Amino acid sequence: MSDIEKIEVDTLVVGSGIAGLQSALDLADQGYSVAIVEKAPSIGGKMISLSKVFPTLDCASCITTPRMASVSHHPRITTLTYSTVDAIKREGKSFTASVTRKPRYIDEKECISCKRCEEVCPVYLPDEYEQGMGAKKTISIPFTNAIPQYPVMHPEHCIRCGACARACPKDCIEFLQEPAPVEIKAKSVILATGYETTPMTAKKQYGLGKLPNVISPMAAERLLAPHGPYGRVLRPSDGMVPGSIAYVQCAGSRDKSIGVPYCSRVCCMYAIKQAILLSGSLPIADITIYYMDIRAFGKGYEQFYNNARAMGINFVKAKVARITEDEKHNPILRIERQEGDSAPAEVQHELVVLSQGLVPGHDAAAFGLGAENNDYGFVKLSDEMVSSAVTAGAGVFAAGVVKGPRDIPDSVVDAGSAAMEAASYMRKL
Amino acid sequence: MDEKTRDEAAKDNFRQEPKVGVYVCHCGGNISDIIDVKAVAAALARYPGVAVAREYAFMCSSNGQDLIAEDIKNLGVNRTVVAACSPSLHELTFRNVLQRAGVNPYLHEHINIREQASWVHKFDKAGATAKAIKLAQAGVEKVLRKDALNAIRVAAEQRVAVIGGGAAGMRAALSAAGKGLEAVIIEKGPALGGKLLELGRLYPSGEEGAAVAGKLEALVRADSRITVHTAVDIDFVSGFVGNFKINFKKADGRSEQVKAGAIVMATGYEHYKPAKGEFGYGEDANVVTLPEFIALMKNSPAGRLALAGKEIKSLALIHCVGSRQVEGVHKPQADGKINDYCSRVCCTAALHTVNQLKDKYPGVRVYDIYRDIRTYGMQHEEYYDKASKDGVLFMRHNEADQPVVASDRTGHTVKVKDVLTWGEELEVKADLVVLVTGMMPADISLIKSQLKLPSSADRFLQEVHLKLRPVELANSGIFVAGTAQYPMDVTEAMAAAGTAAAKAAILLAEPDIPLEPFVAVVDEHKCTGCGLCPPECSYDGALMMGEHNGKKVAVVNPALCKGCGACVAVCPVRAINVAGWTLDQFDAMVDAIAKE
Amino acid sequence: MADAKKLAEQLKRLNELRGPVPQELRDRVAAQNKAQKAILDALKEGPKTAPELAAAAGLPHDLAIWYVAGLRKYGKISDVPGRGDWPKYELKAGEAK
Repeated sequence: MSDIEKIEVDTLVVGSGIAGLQSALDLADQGYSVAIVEKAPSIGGKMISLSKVFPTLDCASCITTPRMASVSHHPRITTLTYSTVDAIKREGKSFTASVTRKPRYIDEKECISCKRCEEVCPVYLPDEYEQGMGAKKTISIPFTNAIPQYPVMHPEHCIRCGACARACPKDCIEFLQEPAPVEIKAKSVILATGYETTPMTAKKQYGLGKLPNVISPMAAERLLAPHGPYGRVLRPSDGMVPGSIAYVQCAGSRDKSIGVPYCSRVCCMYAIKQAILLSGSLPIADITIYYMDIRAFGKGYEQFYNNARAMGINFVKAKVARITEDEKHNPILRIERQEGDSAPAEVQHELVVLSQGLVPGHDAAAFGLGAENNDYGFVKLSDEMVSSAVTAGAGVFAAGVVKGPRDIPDSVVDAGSAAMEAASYMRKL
Repeated sequence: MDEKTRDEAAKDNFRQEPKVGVYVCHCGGNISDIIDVKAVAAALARYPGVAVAREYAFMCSSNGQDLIAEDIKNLGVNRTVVAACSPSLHELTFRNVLQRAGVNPYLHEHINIREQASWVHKFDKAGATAKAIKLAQAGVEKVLRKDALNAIRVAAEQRVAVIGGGAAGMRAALSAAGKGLEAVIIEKGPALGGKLLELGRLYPSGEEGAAVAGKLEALVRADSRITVHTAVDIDFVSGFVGNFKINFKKADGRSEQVKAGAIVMATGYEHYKPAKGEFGYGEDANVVTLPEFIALMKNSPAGRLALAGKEIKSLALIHCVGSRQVEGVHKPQADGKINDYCSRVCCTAALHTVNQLKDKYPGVRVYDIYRDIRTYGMQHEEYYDKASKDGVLFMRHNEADQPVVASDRTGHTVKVKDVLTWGEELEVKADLVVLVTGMMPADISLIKSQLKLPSSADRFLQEVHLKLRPVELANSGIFVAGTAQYPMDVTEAMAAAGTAAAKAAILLAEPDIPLEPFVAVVDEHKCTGCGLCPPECSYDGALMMGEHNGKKVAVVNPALCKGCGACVAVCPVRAINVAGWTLDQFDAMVDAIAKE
Repeated sequence: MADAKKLAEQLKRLNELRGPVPQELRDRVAAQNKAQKAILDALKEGPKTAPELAAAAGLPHDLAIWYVAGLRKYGKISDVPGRGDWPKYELKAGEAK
C-alpha cells in the first residue's frame, strides 16, 4: 500500500441521503468544496429505494436520481461511497476524519460497469436492497440507479470459482484487495446520518421476521417500486396477489415499552401513500389502516388523506394487540376498536404492513466533536429556537433525520439551512 | 459551469446538420405502465431528422443521462427530445446534460408524456401511446427549428430584501448576512418579532415568545450587514431577479427604496378569526380563541383563573377551529373556500398551554375535544402524556359530528358525540370555551399582485415543488420563508428561513445572474412600427417603441420581458417571436400533430 | 480478460489467507443449483404459478418465490401476462434449454 489518500475540502458531509446530498449541493453551489462519505455502496440513502413519495406521488427516483447525478457530476464535490468514517479529530480550527474505503474487490478506475461479472457469478444471495425478497449475486451492482455503478463483491459468499475474473473485459477483479485508509481534512462537518426503522425485536407480539406475510414498510416500498423484486405486488410467503392488506400504525412509535415514546412523523403519511398506490395496482383489494390518530400535518397532507378516504381505503380507529397467522400464513390481527363495536375482535388479512417508526441511524455524538444527543439518541441542537442546524460542537452541524424524524420535504428544507450555517461559520473562521 | 464549457456550449450548433436524439422515459412505471414506450421509440426512430431513439427506465438518472451524453459523443447527436415528465421537473436536468456534453443547452426539447398522456389517458393505452408519438414528433419538429440560444446575463444587486421581521424574517436575514450578503428587513409593525411578541411561552423550549424574538433581534442588531426598517408600509414592489425595487413609506411619511437581488417573503400568518357565532364566538364573552386564552392566562392572578372578574373552574377546548374543514359541514370563508388544511401547530400549542394551565391552576377541569391529536414533534408527545396524567378529559368526534356549544346564564354546555365512548352523546359544562384556532396567511395581496406571486389552494404562497425546490416561488429570485408558506412552528421556521437564505446566496454567488433567453425578439426588417404591441405588454418597460436605423420599431428589454407572447399575438406582420417558441415552430408542431 | 495463471495464483493465495471455501457455503450453492434446475425443468412443461413450482421442486413456498424472483431478475424466466391471484411464470425464450 502506498501513502494514505488525502483529501482537503471546506466541508465534510457524513451521509448521502437526501439531506446529505442537498446540503452538499447547497454548499457546493455557493462555491465551497465538499466531501461526502457514505457507508453504503451507492449514494442516495433511504429515499432512493422508495417507490413514490407523498403528497405529490412523484416517483422517488425522479426526485432523487437527478440530485445524485448533480452531486456526482459536481466539480466541487468528492464522493466516497462504501466508506466508513472511523473517527473525526478536531485540530485547531479544522477537522481531520479517518475514513476507510471498504474493498469492493474490483479496480474502480478500470471498471466500465458492464455487469458481466454479475451475470456469470453462480451464487445467489438475498438482496438487502429488496429487503431480502429479491436476489443478488456474490458480486453485483447494488441496484439499477446506484451511483457509482460499481459492483461489490461479498467474499464471505464467494466460492472462488473465478468466473467473474474470466468474464471481466477490463481485468479488474481484485480478489486480494484491502481496505484503503483516506484522510479528509475539512473546516466544518455536517452530520446527515439519517435513520433506521424501529427494530421490531422488542415488539415480538407483531411477528415481524417470524410471520412471512407481516412485512416492513420498506419491503412494501419495494413491492410497489417499478423494478421491485417481483415486478408487481405479491406477498412473500407464496407469491400470491394479496386481496386484503392491513397497516398497523404506530408499530414502533408512541410506544414507551420499546423506548420510542415519540411520534415518528412519517408513518401516517407513508401508510396512506402506500395504500393509495396499492389500490392503484390492486384495484379490487381491501385496504385497511388501523390507527390511533392520523397525523397529516404537512402542506397538502390533509387533502391527501381525504383523497385516500374517498378512494375507499378503510381507516379504522383501533389498537392492534398482537398478530398471529393461520395455516395459510394469513396474518390474524387481534384488535380493539375505538369506535363502533368495542369488543376485541380477530380480523384476518392476507398481508400486513407494520408502520415502523424511525430511530437514529448512527450515534453521531460518538464522534466526540461536542455535538450531543437527546434522550433518544438524535443529535441535539444548541438552541433550536434560533437555528435549526447548530450543534454544541463548534463547526459541527446537523441536517435531516439525524436530529429527529422528519419527512422528505422537511429534510430537504432542513438541509439548506445546515449548509447555510456551515457557510456562515466558515466565513468567520 | 466554468468558462470553457460555457463557450463550448455556446457554439452555434445550428449550422451543423441536425441530428436529433429522442429519449423516451418509462418514469418507473408512471409512463410505461400505460404507454408502449418501445413503440414510441420505434416510431420516432423512423421519423425524419431523428438519428437515434431510445427508451429507458429513468432518463433522469445518472445512467439515463449518460445514454444521451454518449450519443452526443459517439453518434454526433446535436439536438435532443426527451419525452418524459413535466418540463418543470426535469427540463433543466437534461439541458445540463447537453451543456456538459458540449452542445448548446437550448437545443433540447422536453415533451411531457406523463401528465399529458399516461396519467390522463389511463384507460386508453393505445390512445395514450398514439398521443405520445404525436407529441414527441411535434417535439422533433420544434427542436429542428431551434436556435442555439444563450442565457441573458444581468448584473445583480448583492443584497437580499427580507419582507417581514418575525422569526423567519430575522433568521433569513441572519443567514444571508452570515454568508456575507447585505440584508434588509422590511417590517410593517413597530418592532421586530412579529407574532412571537403576542405569544406566551413557546414549545419546545418553554421560553416566552418575546424572549425568543429578543434573542434573534440581538443577533440581527449585532450584524452590521443587516439594515432594519420597522413601521413601514410597502407601497410598490417592482423589478426582476437581480434587480428588485421595494418602495415603502416610513412612519414619518418619507419614502424610501431598497434595491435587492433577491427577495425573501417572510410575511407570516394571522390567527384564524372564528366567524360570529362559530361555536358561540363573538356572541358570548366566554368563548375565546387559544391566543386570547393565552393572554388571559398570563393576566390571571396566581391561584385563580379569572375572566372579567369571574373565576373559571372548567374549560373545554375545541380543536381544528378554522382548520381541517369539511365541505358541507363548515361554512366557507369570505373567498368561498373552506380551510381544508391542517394548521399543524395547534394540537401541540393547545396541549402545551393546557400543561401550563394545569401547573398554574391544577384545580381547573379541562375537557379536550378533538378529531386527531397531532403532536408529531420530538417532545410533543410528552405534552399529550402530561395532559392525560393531569386529568384532562379527552373526547373525540368524527368530522361530520361537530361539537355544539350552547350557552346560558350558568355557563356553556358542549355536546359531543364521543367515539372514545363508542359514540355516546356527552354533555359537558364549562365556564369557558377555548377555540383552538389555526393559521391563515397574512394579507399580502398588494405585494402578491404587484409581483404576481402564486398561491396554493390553501392561500399560502406556493413553492415550485415541495421536494425539488421547496422554498422557491415560480418567480425567479423570490423565496419564501416560514408561515407565509404553510403553518409551522418556530423551529421549523428556522430551517425554512435558513434554506431560503441559502437559495438566495446561491443565486447571488456570482455578480451576474443568467436569465432564460425565452424573450420577445423583434425582426426590425418586418416591423412596421405600427405600435400595436406595447399596449399589450404587461411588464413595465419590457416592450416600447423606439428607433432602429432611423426607423420606428418595437424594442424589447430582454431583462424585463417574461416571454409571455402577448405582443406576438397582436403583430399583424409576424415581426415578433419569442425566442425558442417561434411561430414557425408552432406551425411545424401543429402540422406534425395534425398529419394523418 | 484475466490471465489464467495470474487468476489461479490469486485464488490460491486467497485459499491460503482465508482457508478453504466453507462446506456450508458449498452446500448452499449446491442446493441452490438443484432448486433452480428443478424450477426451470418444471417450466419446460409450460407456465406455472409459484406454489406449483414449489410443489414440483419440493421447496417451501417462500423459498420458491425467492428463487422465482432471482431467476426473473437474471433473465431466466418471465411473467406470463394476465390477472388472477397466482401469477404464472414461463421460461424466457432461449433459456435453460
